Amino acid sequence: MKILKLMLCLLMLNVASHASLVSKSNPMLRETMKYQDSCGNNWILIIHFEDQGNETANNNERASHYGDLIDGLEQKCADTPT
Amino acid sequence: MYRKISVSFSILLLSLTTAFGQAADVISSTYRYHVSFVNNGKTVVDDICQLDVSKNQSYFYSLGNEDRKKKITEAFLKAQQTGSVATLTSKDYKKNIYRYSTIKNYKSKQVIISERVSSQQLAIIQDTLSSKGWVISKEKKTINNMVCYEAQLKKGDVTTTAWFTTSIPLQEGPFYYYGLPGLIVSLKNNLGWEAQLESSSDKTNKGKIIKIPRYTLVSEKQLEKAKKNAKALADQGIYSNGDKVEKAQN
Repeated sequence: MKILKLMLCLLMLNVASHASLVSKSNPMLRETMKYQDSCGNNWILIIHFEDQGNETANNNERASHYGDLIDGLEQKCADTPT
Repeated sequence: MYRKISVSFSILLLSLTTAFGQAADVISSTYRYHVSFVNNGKTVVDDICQLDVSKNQSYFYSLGNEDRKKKITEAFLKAQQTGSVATLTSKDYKKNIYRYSTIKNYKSKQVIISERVSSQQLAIIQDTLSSKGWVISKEKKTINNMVCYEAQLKKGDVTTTAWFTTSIPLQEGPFYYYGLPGLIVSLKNNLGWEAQLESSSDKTNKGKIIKIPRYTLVSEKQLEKAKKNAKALADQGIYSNGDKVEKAQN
């Protein structure tokens, strides 16, 4: 009976962790990149994101954050009259 | 005896749920489309998008965006190796990408459109999967060596003309389009969106699991509000999480 209860607890924990019900606080990472936009302006881009715990997820998160900033810069550049 | 049975049953239950869950999301076929959007003579989107299809769902997303991610990761790897700051120029960075991704869930019959707003992946339920509204005409032509049939869909002010082939018997297509008796090979609507099938069933993707980034489901109103707020803040140079851009000395 005890084993069955233990298995049930493990199963519930597994479900909870998949559904992000178990809160985890990971350290924040700060990274810097230089970017030259289409108008020839040079920028320093600084981002902060939560450490995702693995390299692939961190690469994704980093790229998404920089993507947001670069899109903003390129939009401004496109809107600037030449 | 009882202990043995309960342990075996639990292990069996866990392995069955894992195996069935994954098998249903294994990519059975993959299609690539050239996607474009021209607004007032200006090319806004010019990208290659991929449609991954599994038993349970399909996922349509930008490959240009994947290329962007790769370029940024490469810049960081290079910087780590040389001990310098990662550097990228606009020439290395793909523009005019398709900014949305579409998930068609065959079980819940929902079409979910997801996009990134202010460091968050937000999504709305765009539609339900249905064949309703399509009018198939007698017109046919050959595209990519496949016999294709013409169909039209009118939804509000948007008229879409699609060419589909029954030689690929999937009710699938680019964007949120669904419900024809064969894969959509070519598509055009009066808003300026176009999609042309470039390749199908990429073997390198077969057997892989569909990977859909986590998203938060919101209402259309909430999405519009989030986009408006993000734009207003970005115009002032304020980004989420304290991210910022600083002008560097040339």
